[in-house]
Amino acid sequence: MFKFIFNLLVLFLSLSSMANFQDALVTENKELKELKNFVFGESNIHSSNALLIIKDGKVIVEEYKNGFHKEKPHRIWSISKSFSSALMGMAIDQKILTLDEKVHDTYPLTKEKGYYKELTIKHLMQMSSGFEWSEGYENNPLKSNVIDMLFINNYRDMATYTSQRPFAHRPGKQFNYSSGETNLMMGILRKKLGAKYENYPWEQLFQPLGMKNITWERDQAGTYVGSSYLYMSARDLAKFGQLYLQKGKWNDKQLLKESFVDESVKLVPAFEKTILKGEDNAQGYGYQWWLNKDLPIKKLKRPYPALAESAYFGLGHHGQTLIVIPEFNAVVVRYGSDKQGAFDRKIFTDKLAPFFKSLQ
Amino acid sequence: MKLYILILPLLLLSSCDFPKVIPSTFAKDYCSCRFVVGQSKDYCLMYAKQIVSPTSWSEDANKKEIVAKFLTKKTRVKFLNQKFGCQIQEN
Repeated sequence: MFKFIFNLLVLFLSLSSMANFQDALVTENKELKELKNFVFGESNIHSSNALLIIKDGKVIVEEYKNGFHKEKPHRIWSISKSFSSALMGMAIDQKILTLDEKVHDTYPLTKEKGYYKELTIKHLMQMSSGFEWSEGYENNPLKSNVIDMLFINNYRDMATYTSQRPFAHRPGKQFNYSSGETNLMMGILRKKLGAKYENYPWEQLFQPLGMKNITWERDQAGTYVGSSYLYMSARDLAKFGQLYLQKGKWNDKQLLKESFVDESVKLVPAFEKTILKGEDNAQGYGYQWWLNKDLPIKKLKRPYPALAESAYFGLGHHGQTLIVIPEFNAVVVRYGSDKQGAFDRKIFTDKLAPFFKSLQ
Repeated sequence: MKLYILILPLLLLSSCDFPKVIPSTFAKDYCSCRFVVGQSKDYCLMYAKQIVSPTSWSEDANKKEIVAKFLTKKTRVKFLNQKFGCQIQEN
């Protein structure tokens, strides 16, 4: 009897330690001091709320500001898209849907040009639907489809709104970052799952990863706002990054297929053919993840040269940042409220790389 | 005549979507900041305000509801629960 209780206790302790990161905070050296000065320095125009660095599965740097702490949730904005992608990957694995499935089987589309017949779920995953869409926030609110969808006239049913957009391009031919496409994806998942949809993200992802206090806001149709409205602590977001770093494996269980993780961080075919404005042109995109690839067709080098091409990013409004860095076996989370000034992720990664190298 | 000059742009402004953006973004962001994230009133006020502020707003702490107005437009956002957070009810 005693042996049974002891074994049970050992099992419980080992599972709980795997659900949470162990602390192994490093002593502040010159490189870490520079990194922290950049992230939290008083003279910066950006405003950071959290910095968390996981290396070899352990917390090596953790700091919070502005009332945030390790238990407190934070809105992750567009990093939500990478979670939506993971859920789609799980649904594919469970044969609930397929990437090649036509979108018009679930949501009626505009019939002009006949493009509706070609649009697949894979195109949505790759932001290559061909829909006419403007993804501008505060800088151009009146012409922004994302503002219209989230706040003005189409907040009730975001997936239906997106599905009714006219086609500007043939599906798969043009990359165009669109929060609407992620919400349409989540709308398809809702229709496929029916009553199971409500708890699906918790049962499939949050609970197996030991994530607590997760909020995912929905529209009035009941679709999770997969583009933008997930809230979680920095430690919980790091767990999601760690899941990808471990190629979908968690506690000896393959939560997400390794092949899906690999596909998720491959460059979208339409990306190299599309010329985008500003720094987005060089960033590269996969299944709802930003990449760090050299782009030979565009003759562009990767946007964060201090990190290897294998690094990838979940990026959100107001400077939310998740970085998975296989070359250093690390995951980095930075939360912020950068309304006044952009958080320069190039400088951030320029300071991250020497810090990781200083640990070797 | 001066009155017309003042009123006409306001009428034109009221007829487009711009006045909806102000109370809607404010109420939604404030609600999520207060009731989902659990930050202080002062912090959330600073967080939710854009370049143009709503003309009036109120927080009902018992109902966990935010109402914000700008010119003729009004938005009501409600905190549903910790799992589903805040949602725009009417705009």
